[in-house]
Amino acid sequence: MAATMTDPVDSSCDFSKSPVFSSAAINKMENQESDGVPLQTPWTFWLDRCVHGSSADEFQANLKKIYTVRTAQGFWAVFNNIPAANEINVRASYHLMREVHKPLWEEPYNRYGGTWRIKCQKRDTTKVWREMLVAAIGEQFSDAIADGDEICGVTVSIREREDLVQIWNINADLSDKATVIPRVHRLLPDVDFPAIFYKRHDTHQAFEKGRR
Amino acid sequence: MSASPIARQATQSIPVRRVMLSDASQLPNDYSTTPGGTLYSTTPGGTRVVYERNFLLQLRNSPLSRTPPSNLPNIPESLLKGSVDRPIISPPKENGAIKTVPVKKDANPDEEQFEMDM
Repeated sequence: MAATMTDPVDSSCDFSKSPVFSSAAINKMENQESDGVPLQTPWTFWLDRCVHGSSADEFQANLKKIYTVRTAQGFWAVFNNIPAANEINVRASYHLMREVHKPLWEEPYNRYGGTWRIKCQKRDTTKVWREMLVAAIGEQFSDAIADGDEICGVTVSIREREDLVQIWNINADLSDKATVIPRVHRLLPDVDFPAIFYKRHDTHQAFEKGRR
Repeated sequence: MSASPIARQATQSIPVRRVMLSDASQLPNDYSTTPGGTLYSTTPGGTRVVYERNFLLQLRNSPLSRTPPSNLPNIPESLLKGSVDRPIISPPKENGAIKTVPVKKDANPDEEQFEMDM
């Protein structure tokens, strides 16, 4: 603001033209997303409001993409600036999915998988959610799953009584060989979970294809 | 001679190597290189980069981590609990009075500034 001299370098830029602004804005966005510690893969934040027994289409209509992050700082920039898990409504869920996959059981990438379902007392939810996010983007589960399996997402769902945190994998047949549950206990030694168990997507009543 | 089945099986698993980083300056300059120097596009089977919890948590308060992405969408109000500490577009109209909720700006403490102590 205090610049009184005309800068000979900048004089070629006409700031009244919108293309200059938009390319500057694009550069800024790119810098924000490329500076920082790169993650193994991009991850995408999603938000939804669950309607019990809804079809895959109905679920998708209630699903909102928040942001795809590529760096640790990019992850925190979203996490720090969206409402915390304890600030969202009952029946709402946050998901962080690998790449840009949707948190949908029937997606080709997810359909043979399932989730570890971790019930949490309300007082623990925020902490459990944060630790599971950090473990996922840090690939902390990579030595807790079988070869050929992959952790592809984490979800927190706010419920009336106990909340639910889920860890998604892509191959339900390999879940027996995983040591995800001991790993969760190791990451959160002070937390008592009311329940923690594995469930395949295709055993859900609402699972649309391959229903038994 | 081909490798024994066991040896081949062993090469199929994704090797995990833990690289401890204490500072972001120890990171490679480009996306294609993992800390410690392997290229994940060219490493057979790919190497998974594992970051320790404390390293990631340390990054939480860096200036980059606190700046919201410029195109971060607003979370629909219907998905938020009743009264949260943020501007609400249509506050509850009790007694017909519309309260204005002040925008709470996160104080940017001086700790973000680098000290120039030379």
